[in-house]
Amino acid sequence: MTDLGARLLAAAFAIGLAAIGPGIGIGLLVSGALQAIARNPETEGTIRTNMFVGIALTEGLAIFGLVISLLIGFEVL
Amino acid sequence: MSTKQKVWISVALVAVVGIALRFTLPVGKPLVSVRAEELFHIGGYTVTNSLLLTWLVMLLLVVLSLIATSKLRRGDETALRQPRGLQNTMEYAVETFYNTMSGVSPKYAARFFVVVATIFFLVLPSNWLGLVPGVGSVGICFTGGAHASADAALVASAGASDSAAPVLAATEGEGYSHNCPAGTAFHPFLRSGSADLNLTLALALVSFLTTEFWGFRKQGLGYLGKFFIFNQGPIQFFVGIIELISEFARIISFTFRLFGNIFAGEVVLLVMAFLFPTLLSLPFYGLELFVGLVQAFVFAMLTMAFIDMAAESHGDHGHEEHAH
Repeated sequence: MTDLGARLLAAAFAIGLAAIGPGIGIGLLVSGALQAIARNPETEGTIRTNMFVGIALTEGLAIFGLVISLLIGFEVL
Repeated sequence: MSTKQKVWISVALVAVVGIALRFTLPVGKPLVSVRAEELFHIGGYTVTNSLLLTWLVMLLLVVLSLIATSKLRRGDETALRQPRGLQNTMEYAVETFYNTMSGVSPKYAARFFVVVATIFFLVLPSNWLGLVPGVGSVGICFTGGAHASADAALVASAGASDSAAPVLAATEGEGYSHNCPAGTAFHPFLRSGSADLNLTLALALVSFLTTEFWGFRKQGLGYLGKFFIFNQGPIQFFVGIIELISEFARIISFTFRLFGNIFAGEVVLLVMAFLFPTLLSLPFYGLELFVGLVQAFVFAMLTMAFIDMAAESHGDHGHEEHAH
């Protein structure tokens, strides 16, 4: 396996695997938020704000993977 | 012709011209640099393009604040009771943000609003100004080294705008981004401040130090009792150690969350524009506007939440959990 091939595989795997967990996590988050809004439409604003905070935190983990993937792909690491 | 028709026609025009330029002019690979590119030196201090944009953001914030509060500083009573115009908008923004922060931490929002709001109102323009056309695409072919000589010609990236005056290089186009001559690198004049690890690390350290300062101020040396728990058994001891590590891991997390979101957004916009001009990057522009707002808000809100948590000792949580 050449160096370039290993680098490309590493970049692909880094973001591919990193997106699995947060994908499931965000799905669970939004599902919970939608159910909560359905049960109590008055608190939609509060629920939506907290949902976005949760999404931003979970998405951060995928972003960490994306950063590593970019660093590997553009030969910084 | 209605406004909607005019908008559609202009978008179609820009797309056609962009695509035509993309396929007629030589285009290299998009150049992505994690490190902010240097522009010039003041004495021994290097000024990078992200530093330049951060200075512009600071100038913008100061000027906006001065204009918005000019009537108040003159002692105008009606402006105090019935704000208008820019003053009204700024008051709305600050008040909305303050109400949200009060929701996060009712007890300490007032005391730390200065820090938290500064973080928010610094990061938000930093994120958004990185999306302005021209930022990241207009720059100079920089001959590396100690002297920033404006040797090579001023170039703009091909296919990004139809008002560009591109310079064709004598050497081959592939492999050199923006058709810069060999031996030089393309340095944009401006780059988003949050896409520079230095700014995000500095903000993360400010957030960390504020939290730790408040913990020690509120609980004295008992704050360390949150991390070094000796009298509740071995499991609680390791819980304390893990909490200590997570305090420091927050610095890394803050830094890379903001940097990753904004830098990856820049790279995505760049790569999309190089793949298919104009049209492909439009949806991502919308996403980046949203992400910029959310990330600024999350940074500030998490700082507020951690400050709130730093004021409570570990014992409070423990008594709730182990209540008999």
